[in-house]
Amino acid sequence: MSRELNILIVDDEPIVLKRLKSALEKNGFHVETFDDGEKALRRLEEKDFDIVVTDLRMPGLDGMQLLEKVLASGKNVKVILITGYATIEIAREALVKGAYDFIAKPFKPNDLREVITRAARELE
Amino acid sequence: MSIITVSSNSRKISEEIGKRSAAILEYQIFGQETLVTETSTSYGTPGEDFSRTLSDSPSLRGISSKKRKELLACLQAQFARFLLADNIVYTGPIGHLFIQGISHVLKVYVAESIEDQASRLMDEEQISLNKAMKIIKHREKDHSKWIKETFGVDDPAPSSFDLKIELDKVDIEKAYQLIVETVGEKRFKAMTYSRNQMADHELAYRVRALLVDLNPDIRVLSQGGEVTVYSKSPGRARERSLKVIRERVETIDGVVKLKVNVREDLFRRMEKGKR
Repeated sequence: MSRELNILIVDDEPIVLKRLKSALEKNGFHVETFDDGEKALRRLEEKDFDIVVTDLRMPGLDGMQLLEKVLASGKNVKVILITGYATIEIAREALVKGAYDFIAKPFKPNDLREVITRAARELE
Repeated sequence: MSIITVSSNSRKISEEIGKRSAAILEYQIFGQETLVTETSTSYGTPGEDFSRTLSDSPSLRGISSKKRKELLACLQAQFARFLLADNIVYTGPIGHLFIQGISHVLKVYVAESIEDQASRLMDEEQISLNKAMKIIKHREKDHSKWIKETFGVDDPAPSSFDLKIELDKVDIEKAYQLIVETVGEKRFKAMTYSRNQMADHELAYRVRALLVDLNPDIRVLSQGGEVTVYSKSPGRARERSLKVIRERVETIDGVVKLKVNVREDLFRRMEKGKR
């Protein structure tokens, strides 16, 4: 992608946000982080993002609900779900609802980087 | 980017449906013969032993229970190796049992009525309908027994499959169409999670195949190259067991970290004490 890629990350664990933000900014991506699904959704209404990376299990608005709301907005955005509670049923449900990819925690930042790079190519 | 396993109560039908589906989808295809040949090459054991393991029920005159577990571990490791490639169809009776819990694997069961199977056998073997029915029933009984003894499950259990096609209700052309449509659904698309799981399974099975001679019930788990081995060993043999497992697994490609849990096998210790 020729312009800077805008990524929004949502996770209720601050350590995950810090780690992912730092890893992805090294690749030249612009990253904003939120520890709450509602706050993330409000930010998504204000600004266009290319990629949303969201944790699945969060208090309040969870990752699956955020996925549905983001896709219902009709914006051209890829949503990647991450979770420490992956099962075959949840993974399939996420894809059926339109998730771009589904990654089980723990994962290496490079795994996410590869998925983001692939998603960015498809957004071009 | 998906995988399809086609099982059936009729080998001919599973091969025909597998071939046609693979051709329509432009997927690669392999069956039991390829699995046996490649496993034989990889593990240096005669293909005949693997074939017998896949067809014969345990018996006093046949392959021992321990040897069967070793041969099955090799077959499962080879099977998982094939499945690392996406866009592949496997036709055979054990595909759905060899790999479980992977979301981009579509497991299909095709049921052909006993009458249709018998009718075909009558033509092929020039025998009476009555004899053909008896042969088919006997084969099905043997196969169910084999599955129960080998995997501890009833077969075909509806919960083992994502799609069940009954050929007395659906014609064969519609069967291909159903498979092609179902595998095209988003839920069967490969994703990072399912690909990583497949890689974890493949490594765990490969490690298990190299250790199973030490303990036929040895368990191996893998996550991202971190391998955990669970085994049992009696008394003083425990230290030796730990050493052998470490030596063998250290050389395996893909193993990043190894944890070995060898518990004392009290039953075998007591048995030895009695001798």
